[in-house]
Amino acid sequence: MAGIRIPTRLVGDSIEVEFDESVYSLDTIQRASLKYSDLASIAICRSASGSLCATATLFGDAGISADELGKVLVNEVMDQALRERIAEQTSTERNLILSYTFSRSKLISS
Amino acid sequence: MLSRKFKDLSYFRQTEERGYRLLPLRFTALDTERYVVSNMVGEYLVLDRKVIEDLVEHRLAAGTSLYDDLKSKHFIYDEDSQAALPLLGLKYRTKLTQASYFTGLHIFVVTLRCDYSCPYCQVSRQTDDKVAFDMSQDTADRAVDMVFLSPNPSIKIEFQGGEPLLNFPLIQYIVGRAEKLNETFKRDLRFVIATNLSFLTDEVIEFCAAHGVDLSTSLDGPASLHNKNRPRPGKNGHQLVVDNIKRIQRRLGKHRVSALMTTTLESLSQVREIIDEYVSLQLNEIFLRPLSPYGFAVRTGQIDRYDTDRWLDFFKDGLSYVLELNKHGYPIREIYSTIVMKKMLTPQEPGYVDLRSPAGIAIAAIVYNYDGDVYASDEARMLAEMGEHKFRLGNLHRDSYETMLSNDDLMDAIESSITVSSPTCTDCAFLPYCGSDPVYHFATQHDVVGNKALSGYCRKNIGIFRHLITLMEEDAGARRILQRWAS
Amino acid sequence: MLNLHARASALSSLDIKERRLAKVTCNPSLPTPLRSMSAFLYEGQCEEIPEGFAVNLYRNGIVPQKTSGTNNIELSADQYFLSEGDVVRINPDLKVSVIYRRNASSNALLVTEQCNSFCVMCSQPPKAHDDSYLIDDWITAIPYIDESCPELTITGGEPTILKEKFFELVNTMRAQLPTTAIHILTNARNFKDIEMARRLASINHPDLMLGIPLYSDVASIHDFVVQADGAFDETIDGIINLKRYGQRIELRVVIHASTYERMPRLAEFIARNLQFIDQVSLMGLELTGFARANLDAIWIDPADYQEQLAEAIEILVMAGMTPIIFNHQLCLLRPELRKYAVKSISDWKREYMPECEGCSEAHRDCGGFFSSAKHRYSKFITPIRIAT
Repeated sequence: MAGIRIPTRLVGDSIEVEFDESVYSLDTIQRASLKYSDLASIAICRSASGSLCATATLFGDAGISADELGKVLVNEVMDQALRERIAEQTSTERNLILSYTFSRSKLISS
Repeated sequence: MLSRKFKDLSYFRQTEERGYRLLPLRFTALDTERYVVSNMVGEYLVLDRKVIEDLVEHRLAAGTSLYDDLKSKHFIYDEDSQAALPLLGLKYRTKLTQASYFTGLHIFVVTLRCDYSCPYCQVSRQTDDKVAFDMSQDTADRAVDMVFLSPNPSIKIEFQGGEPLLNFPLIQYIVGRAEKLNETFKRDLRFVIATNLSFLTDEVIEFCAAHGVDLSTSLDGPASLHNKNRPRPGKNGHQLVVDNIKRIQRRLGKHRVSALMTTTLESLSQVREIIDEYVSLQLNEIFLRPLSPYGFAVRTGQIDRYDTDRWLDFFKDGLSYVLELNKHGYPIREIYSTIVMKKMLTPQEPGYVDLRSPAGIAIAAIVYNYDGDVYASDEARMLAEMGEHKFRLGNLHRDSYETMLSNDDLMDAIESSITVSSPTCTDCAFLPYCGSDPVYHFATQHDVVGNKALSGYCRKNIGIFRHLITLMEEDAGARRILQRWAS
Repeated sequence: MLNLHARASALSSLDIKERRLAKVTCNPSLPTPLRSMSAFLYEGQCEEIPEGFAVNLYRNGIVPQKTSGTNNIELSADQYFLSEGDVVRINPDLKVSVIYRRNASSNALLVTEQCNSFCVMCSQPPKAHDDSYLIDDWITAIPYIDESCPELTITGGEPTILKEKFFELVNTMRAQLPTTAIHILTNARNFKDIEMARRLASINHPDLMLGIPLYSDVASIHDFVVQADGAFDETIDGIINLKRYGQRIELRVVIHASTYERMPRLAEFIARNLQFIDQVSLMGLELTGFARANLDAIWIDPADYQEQLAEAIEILVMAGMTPIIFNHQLCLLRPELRKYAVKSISDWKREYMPECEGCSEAHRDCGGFFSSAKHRYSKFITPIRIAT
């Protein structure tokens, strides 16, 4: 993921972050945004160019600047994208492990 | 180097060169530089973000000690070995088994009458009206019957109030009846009285000796703090508690009495003094309890972030002092840390009511109120006193066990309290250590699940988890003490 | 080191066409029906040699003026220790093997030398030939062993390779020696087949423990040590299946150059994944067989892995498990670890070294050395002197 720049734009006390939808899904951005709902109100819409745009407006007591929020939001979106890759890759294993967990075979007697 | 018939290690490593697969794992920031990565059962490693990316993008090379650790701790597997799968299945089952035992803690509110008038208490009444505010024998009978409908092999009956010793005869009655029924049910049956000790007579002590009843009391700290938090006519609450703790230790034994604090904003600047108070009474356990939201004003839609962060400082400083005492030879455990360390370091699930997924409401603990109302938890009872009856399951005089436990609000709350399917929780590396608190979230956000970014419960727990893991990573002395607590 | 196998010499004509098992007795008045399964041991206790015994054994140098009948043989001087209640196998070539000793601190039943693993430090290297006579002899010999025998170890090779005969032996032991505990040394790989575990459980032996080696938390390292791809997974499956059927399990870790470094990680692995097992044994090398052939590759002075050993023990103890240290001299162990050590080397293999001179622990709590240790042992052997 190195080298991918995610454009951000300060507009007053809001920061707008533009995400390429082919790389970051709406679900990814929503999940990441949820984490900062104590600091800002984050709205997601489609920009004129068709990419997804998250606009974060800071609350008065947020304690960080809009610019900083933009940075942490971008980091969290990238983390969230990684989490989704993990979930995709491991769904078979998760089901297999759960089937062992809930199998009817006798519990280990110890 | 081995004689010719034998193959080298590299021969057996060959299959590992073909690549690896991920096992279910979660990651969350520990601090600005490091992340915690955890597997399905809470085994964890602390890694840099770059390493995690390499891990997920399959760039890690086999044959390194990092690779070996990831494989042995069940974060990855490969063609060389798939033993991780059945082992994770077994481990996950071990962690979940606890929940299948069902309700173990049964709280009996034998009276609302109390001699204290603590400002944060939602429930007690300063009155002599026994009829109006004492549990009746009929109610007690029905409650004891309901206790044994739970299949849990271990049953703990806890007497609360008001001040339960104000209705001591009923306590004696309930203990007798429960013991009689237990001749049939043969559970591991234990009793504890949560009392302010004002009415601790010799008769009470002898009864506790005869029936193996433990005592639990409130000790908020040194006299000035304790008496401010807990006003009593005569203003001598602290002295009474201290004298009676010593009396119980002498007559019944050191391990028969324990103390819990209520943490108020006043307490936050006095953690070392509070701990010293416990040490002066030779107590070996202390529970650095969180601030309670019940009765505090909570700004709608916002967490009281400031108070939670101040509390975390209180906790960290307190824990640091506790560890220091241990290093200097005084064995004392902080209870919340002990519970969390057991979840982190052992295959067991300690079963603490407030850190369970699904939540412990009704299915781990249940409250039988003096008037026969049955509540899903102690906090649910407090909430009811504030006017919100969502978690009242029914009444012993009117409703059957089945009706009460299949209450719709309860079912919905339990179902939505499963953390692996809750937003934000589902992605959190600390999920295996954490739990749900639907009553808290309903009280503070009017939603049983709540938005975790706004949750004091979440913020507090994540702060504790990060702190403990950091200590494990950076402080060898602290690590050994925490490991010992977990064992 | 006792010589359990030695050749005797004939004192009379012989009628031993096939190997025979016999229970040794010094009692000339042994009831007649029992004599055909017994060997009479002459040490000058009577004037006339009694009749009807399978064979008459004479202690080296104690031979009467005349012997009568057939099958009179003089034992080698090496087998001076033979005594009442022991069980011997006598071959047509007069090789006498003492397969069971009543007075031994422990007795092992070697049931086969075949194995499905090929451990780099194996003290009993596998042989591929048909040695089915071994288990057949043991099944026959069980009734010759005293009922009061406290414990027997079934070992090999890999005993479960014998499948049905293995179960027959265990069942025979349950039936004939109901109060004798059995310790089975197995790599458990064959128990990956759950039917094998069920079969063992169905015998319902009252006091059975399986000793199963696990050399690493990393599968490829374990597979390397046992020289078999996939062995780790099979052993884990075997352990799980055995526990499903309620069997008691001891994990055995042999400590050498390839296993010492990750010992604490192995301890963590056991504590997290296998906490239901009953005992963990941490063992020093026995320098016979492959261990000797591979000595340079696998040797590490025990003094050099004490840190890892201490860490592993602490992890296991905190997890509520029972660690036991075998085959380590006490002077090499840190004082706080000595309480976990047991005197485990069978008396017939146990010896002490010149450096032990003056040690208060020698012959007392310290287990000493394997005789094979003469090939190499720690540079740090020092007498422990109790301060007076």
